[in-house]
Amino acid sequence: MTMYKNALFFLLVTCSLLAVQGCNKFLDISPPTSNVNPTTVKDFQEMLNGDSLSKCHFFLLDVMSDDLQYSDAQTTTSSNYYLRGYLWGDPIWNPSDDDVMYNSTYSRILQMNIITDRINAAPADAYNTPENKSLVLSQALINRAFYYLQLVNAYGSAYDPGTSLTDPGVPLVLSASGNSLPPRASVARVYDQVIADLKAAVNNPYLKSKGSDVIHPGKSSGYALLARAYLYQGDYVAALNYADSTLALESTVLNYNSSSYKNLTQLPDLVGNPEILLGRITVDLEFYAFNKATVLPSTTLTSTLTTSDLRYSKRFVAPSRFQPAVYTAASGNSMVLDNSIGVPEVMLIKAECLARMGSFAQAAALITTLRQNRLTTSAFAAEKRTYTADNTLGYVLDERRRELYYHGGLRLFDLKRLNKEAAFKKDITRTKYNSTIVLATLPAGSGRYLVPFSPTVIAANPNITQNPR
Amino acid sequence: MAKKLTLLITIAFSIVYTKSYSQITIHEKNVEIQKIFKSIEQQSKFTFLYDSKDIKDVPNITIDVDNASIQDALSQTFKGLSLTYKIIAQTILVKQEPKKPENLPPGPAQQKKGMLFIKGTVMDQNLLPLKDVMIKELKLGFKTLSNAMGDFTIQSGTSGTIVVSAPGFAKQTISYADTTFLEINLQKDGMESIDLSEVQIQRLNEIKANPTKFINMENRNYMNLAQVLQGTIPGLSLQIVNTSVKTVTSVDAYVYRDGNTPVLAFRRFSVEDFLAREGRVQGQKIIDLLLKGSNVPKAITDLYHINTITTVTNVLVPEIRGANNFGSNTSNMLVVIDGFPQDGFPANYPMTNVESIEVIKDPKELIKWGSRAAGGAILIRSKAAKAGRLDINYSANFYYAPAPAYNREKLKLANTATYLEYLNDPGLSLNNGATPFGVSPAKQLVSQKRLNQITQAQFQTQWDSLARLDNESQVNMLQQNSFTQNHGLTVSGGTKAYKFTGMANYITGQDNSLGSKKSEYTFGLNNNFSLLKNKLNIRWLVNFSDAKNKSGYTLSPTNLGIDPYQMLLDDRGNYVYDYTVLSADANKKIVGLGYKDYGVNLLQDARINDLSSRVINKQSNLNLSWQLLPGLSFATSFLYKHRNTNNRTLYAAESSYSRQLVDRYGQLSSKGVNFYVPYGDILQESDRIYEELNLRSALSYSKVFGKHSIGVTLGGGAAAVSSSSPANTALYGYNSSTKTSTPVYLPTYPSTNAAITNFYSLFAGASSTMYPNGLTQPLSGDTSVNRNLNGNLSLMYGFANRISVSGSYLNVLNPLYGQSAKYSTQKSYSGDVTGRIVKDWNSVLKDVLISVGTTGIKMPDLPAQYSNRRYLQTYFNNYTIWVNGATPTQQQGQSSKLIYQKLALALADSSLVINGAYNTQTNQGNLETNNTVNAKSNETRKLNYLSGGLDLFLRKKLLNFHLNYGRSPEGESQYNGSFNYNIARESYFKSNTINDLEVSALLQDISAYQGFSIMTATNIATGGSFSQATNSDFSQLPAASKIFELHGKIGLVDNKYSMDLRYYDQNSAGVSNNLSVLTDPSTGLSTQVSYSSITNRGIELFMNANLVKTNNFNYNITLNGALNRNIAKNVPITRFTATNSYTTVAREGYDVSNIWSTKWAGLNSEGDPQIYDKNGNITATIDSATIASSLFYQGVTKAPYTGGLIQEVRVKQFFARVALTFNLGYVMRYYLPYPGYDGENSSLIADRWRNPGDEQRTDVPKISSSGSNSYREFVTRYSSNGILPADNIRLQEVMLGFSLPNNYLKKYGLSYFVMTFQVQNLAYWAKNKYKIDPATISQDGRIGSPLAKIYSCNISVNF
Repeated sequence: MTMYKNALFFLLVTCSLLAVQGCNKFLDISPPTSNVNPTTVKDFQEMLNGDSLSKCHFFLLDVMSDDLQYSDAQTTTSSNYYLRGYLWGDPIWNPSDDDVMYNSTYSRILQMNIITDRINAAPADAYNTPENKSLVLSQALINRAFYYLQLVNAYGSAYDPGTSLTDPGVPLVLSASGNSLPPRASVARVYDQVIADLKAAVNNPYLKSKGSDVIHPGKSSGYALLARAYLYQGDYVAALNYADSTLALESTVLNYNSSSYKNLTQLPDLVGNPEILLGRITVDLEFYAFNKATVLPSTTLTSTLTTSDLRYSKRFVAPSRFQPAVYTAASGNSMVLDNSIGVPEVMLIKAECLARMGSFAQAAALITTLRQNRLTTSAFAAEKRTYTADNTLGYVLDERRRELYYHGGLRLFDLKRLNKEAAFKKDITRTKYNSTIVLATLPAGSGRYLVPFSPTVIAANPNITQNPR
Repeated sequence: MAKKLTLLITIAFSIVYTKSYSQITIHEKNVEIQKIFKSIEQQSKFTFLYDSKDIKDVPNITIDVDNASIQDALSQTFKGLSLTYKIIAQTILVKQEPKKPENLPPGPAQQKKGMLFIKGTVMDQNLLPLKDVMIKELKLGFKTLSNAMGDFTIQSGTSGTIVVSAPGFAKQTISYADTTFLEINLQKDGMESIDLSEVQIQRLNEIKANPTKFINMENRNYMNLAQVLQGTIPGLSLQIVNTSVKTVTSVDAYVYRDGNTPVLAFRRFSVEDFLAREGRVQGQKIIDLLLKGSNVPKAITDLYHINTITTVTNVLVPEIRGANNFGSNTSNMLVVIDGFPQDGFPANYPMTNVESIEVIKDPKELIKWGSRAAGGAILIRSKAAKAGRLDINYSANFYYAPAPAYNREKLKLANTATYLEYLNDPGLSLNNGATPFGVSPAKQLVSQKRLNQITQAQFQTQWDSLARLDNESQVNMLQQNSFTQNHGLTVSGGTKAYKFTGMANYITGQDNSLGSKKSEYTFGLNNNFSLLKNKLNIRWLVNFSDAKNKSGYTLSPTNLGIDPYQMLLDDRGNYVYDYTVLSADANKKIVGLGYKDYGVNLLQDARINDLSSRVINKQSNLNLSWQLLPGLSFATSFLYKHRNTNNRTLYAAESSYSRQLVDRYGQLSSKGVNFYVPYGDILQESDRIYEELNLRSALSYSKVFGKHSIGVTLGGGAAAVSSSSPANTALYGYNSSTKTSTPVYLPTYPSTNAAITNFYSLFAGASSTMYPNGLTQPLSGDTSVNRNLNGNLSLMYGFANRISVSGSYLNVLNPLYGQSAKYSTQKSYSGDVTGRIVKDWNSVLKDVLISVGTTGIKMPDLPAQYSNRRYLQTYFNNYTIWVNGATPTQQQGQSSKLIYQKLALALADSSLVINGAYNTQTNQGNLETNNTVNAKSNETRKLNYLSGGLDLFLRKKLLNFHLNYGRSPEGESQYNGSFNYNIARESYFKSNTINDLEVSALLQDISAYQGFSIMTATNIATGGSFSQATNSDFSQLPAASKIFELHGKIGLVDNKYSMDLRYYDQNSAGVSNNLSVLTDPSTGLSTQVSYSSITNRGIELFMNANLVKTNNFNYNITLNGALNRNIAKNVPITRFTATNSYTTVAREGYDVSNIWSTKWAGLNSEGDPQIYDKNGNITATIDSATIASSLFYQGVTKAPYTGGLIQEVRVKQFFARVALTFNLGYVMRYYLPYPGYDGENSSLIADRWRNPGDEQRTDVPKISSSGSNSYREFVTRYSSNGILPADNIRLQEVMLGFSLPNNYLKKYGLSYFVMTFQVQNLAYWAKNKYKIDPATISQDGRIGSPLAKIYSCNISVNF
């Protein structure tokens, strides 16, 4: 009996000792591999891998610009928010329309906010090196700055040093806590945040010029966004400075003549394009679903581009006897548009700054380089242009339109900011197809340049004040 | 003579009250009594003991009993004979009637008064009733056994002694005087045999067992689970909730892109794969929401559909007290059979081998079963094997359900004529351009006409040919008749040391979806070992099943996918292709170049594609209790589950999926088409292994030496749940016989990762790149592992009833991802020292006790949870994480500690006990469970308060009252109490008609932290074994629950009539994250986490009348009814949006199924919709302000009044059952079309307003071009004219059955044979004017396929 007792005691002690040792081992396990509560630097790196970060929904901004027109069939179709946006209508949103542009952009901002909230609490592990940590933070900040710069220009007025401190912009959400009901921050406040984030991001010795792929931002795209933000603010010195910084890192432009450049059908099509600094596309499903057709270039865009421009012939189907020119559809069911930050835009920012500062020859040189890569060889050879102090800015702005149409609202943003300059301000109109019958007019500086908030957004956050139409 | 009579009456009474449930059937004429004895012995466990001298002179007997109890059989046998008999254990002692009964105390008074009886109930320490307990009156020598409900009646004197004994329990001797009722609790003795350890019930203040929670199984073994539940449990209604609320077999999710391949279509995922894809939390949330079916956000209904198996049998869903939680899938209760939780509700589970069914409604008990049991739990225990006897049972069920007819008229769907007329209306904006992509044939024609691409004559010819076609009859080919059979064999037997029950089950058949097929084998073995002189008891359950399931094409009448003129087969029986995706002309063009046909045919795809799954389940459950040494015992419980799921989708080469995929990866070259994907079958196969291990062990030691007693329990446990699926690739050009496939070709220039262009480039304005390399990338596999370890310790010391010291400590360790610590710790502890300072002082103050003690709980520190999806991006070949939701963390290191000093006084001979305590509570961090943002704070809160309690035990403990006041660990005030009075058992209560009368009340308050402690405590061994509920997940706090209940029951004429009435008011409050809310504008997330509560209030009524009960004829009526309201509280305010979901959104103070609408005022003379505004004026101005102010409450969409009326008749060998169910007091949505959208397929569009005057006859407005999501659409579709009463009564079931008479049984060597025939869903009566069956109506008012009538036949045989 005693032996039995002793043996039992021994067994128990051994078991408990083993248990204590085994505890750590037993509990030291990996989390589920298909959903990971992001906590570590490696998790944040994976969050930044998402191709959704590069897939945006800014097509409505292009629809509101003067770069496209609707066919008569499209204007008489069952009413939808694209059509109402095209006519700068009031309202744009039907009562229960979801504003995908708004919601999807904030859901991308949420991803970045989680990273910025948590990066400093990331546990020390093999991935948590100063290099990895600072890279994750820089890339998150650049992405977030991109989204806010888009949002503030979509829903807010163009930057104006005089009024932007009070002009309402968009709710500035910088931390990942949900269900807060922030009011709209001022346009100036949003710009300040965008610029501060970008400056913090590029001030990182580990940040390379380009990210590992088109989804990951590098230093060059940080500089490019700074240049874009300063240009919109009218700070041409700073814009020029950051444009130069960008071009010092990346300046290759793709020659549409020699390359097999085709219009985009999906994000990977951007891979291998050397001029892309940060890949962004807009895939619009509903426009095609509503219209069973793609958009038509506006007559002003067509006349600006001319058919010898490869930016026209490679993206539009040539008009035929039965059909006007239309944008090519991807896979027969959607439109895919390039919204990337690229070298050409930075060249154009630099050119605009130079032209405005009087260095028209330097500006002209940039335009010439770009046109050489964009026009057919014969058309470029035939081109006879004389750049002067007076006409260069005009050439630059025209080139900007040619290069950046259907580019996630860049043309609309340009219209808004140029309307503040007497020389460039203009009213734009919608007419019936091939007709002079005016359907709608958007006067320069009109409040209808701003995208209104959808009733569902305002219902969910009553602190958001609506843009007056 | 009088004495003789007395004795006979005594026996007769004893017989009545010692019901046993052996079923005895004897039909004999004029035979010797021995023959009857033998027959009874054969059919029961009883043996006869008699002296042959005594029965020598007994005349021959004629007897006729069917399925009678032993007592009935005996009384029939002994009727009129000069014999007496006594049942002792399992022996029936037969004697010559004594001349002078010596057992009766003599005295004329006694005889005048008649017999005295004591009734009583025997229960174990968990208050579970005990059957077959021997009750002996010592002085008078009467014996009896308790019945299944633990009840017994025994003849008694005015005072005496009763001895109660049962194997495995300590014998108990009870002295009684002047009492008519005894409530006896047996304690397990040292030599106990372990029984199936049900949930240990910790009762606050000795709350009585719910008297209705055990189902009386008497005469119900021919039924199935649904039938048994329906007629027995008050408040439990079995409802046809919808046509498809059953087991989820797969989920269809809208896939935009697969890697880089645009899919833009719904793709089917197995549940596991879906959960892996969406993230477990988010995925489950979506499934639960869709199953629940109400208030589902549009963002979810648009993108996800669930497929459920509507096995012919599973049309009923039990519901108890309606919804008590927003989030949980309320309509389902958890069914646990012999310790194994079941998936779904096994409505057809036969009762042949069931020992008991327990229905749990008490929230405190349900917490232990985790979230799956939020709607209640049903515990089913199989019959235990009997030593030395081999029992064999065979049962078979056959089900047949004809395919429901597809009838457009009944489904209110537009036929060809209506649809084409609408489509061709010039008012309908139809802009399809000239695109060959995604336009149906009819729309192509209309577009071509409008664009003047064809002449009016050309148009008309083609249009007329379309108009002549209608596919209604062909659509029926997409369904099949359902036929299922189920065979079960059970064998049980064994010796004293080893008993076993083996079960084998085989199910095979097909359901109504075309091409479906299933077969399943199940084997189970329940082993009971009683070894080492009963010192080692083991219960070991093993279960194995292998299920193969081929899912067929599920017809969705309202969403068929083809227009009514699109045929499936042509005149010659060839498949007709639908060229909507790519127009017929464009298809002709690509086919001419060498591409495969791009057309789709539903019937062809349904016939040739093979979507099958195979699930192999292995489960084992071992419970062991071992008396190692005197005082030292070891208990362990081990649960193992292994499930291997294989999902296989084989797209045949001829299927549209294969043809289209091959085409998309086909590049046009000068030599023809260069196909990168080999043409052939495509196989997508995935495996998933799920494994769960849960081991819990405890060692207990207890010893008494002298006046000291000590007890120590040391326990520990570990749980691991893992689920993994390896990465898999689709196989192209798959050959099923050789199991080989052909590789995908890859481009060579500039790299294998390069893009190709496909046939889209043939069409002007279209382009498309495809990356063949993406097809070679495996779909990401995944692994998830959840583990925890727990340890617990408890100590007890007592000294001579004077001092008792106890303490306990419980610790649970959970792995912690991404923190510096490897695991998080949560702990709870308690300690108490109680001294009795006054003992038996005088009759006024009996005892005085003082105690000091402490309790505490500490939460682990967990990071906030972001639900997300992590997946492989095939093109970029890396993983990414996408956050799609946020869940607040309620556990961030908070703690609550309590120190108390308590004084308890027992007064008036312990019939009044009062206690009071001074408490000091220290709370650290934010313990408010309604905190949805951040619980972390360093705030420390100290709270001093007085608590107290009062316990009254009056009228010999027949009237008890308890009330306690204290505070929850969160610091909230709490009252807990109970009251019960058993009037019928009172000595003063003498009634010949009322035999049962009891009233009780309950007040229960469980805070979230208390609930959490209950959950963790399931890991602690109690009573020598473990409770069965296994909780491996402690990540969320359970909802706090407050309940008030009033209950009364009455039984008349020996329970011939009985009635049970209950009022309840329950409030549960917790984090709910499934409320349909608007997209959060600061995060873009569409679900919002909120802290909400729901109040369940209602009445449950249960009436049973056993109108006739004779040996040959039995007629029983049961009426079961409930009124239930579920009121939402603290729900987030949803502001007005003109959406369907706004009309049903949860509103403060309203039922959770509330529905609102504008009041319809008909059309105006222009054909525009009008409503009544808030002032009651008709208006056609419909804007946000007008609508928002004029919405009004229309009622609820879930029936508040539910119930059933069940009639059961038995005539000799035949029995029948008719069940009617009713659902009253609710409304449903009736689908109203909104003309203006080209996909509208309601037949009501034919009635649309066209000319002035039409407004007199129709509510359907004229075609509008204001587009979707407009106010006009809102009022057209969601006004009061689309709300119909949904009240309905249905003839749920008619059953006929018979049992084989004894003489036949004998002939075939059987002991039991029952056969039943049933028809379900026979008929319904619906109040609405269209006679639509509300059970088939979907959330938006569309009508689904009619419920199939199910014909079934069941056979059960015992050998």
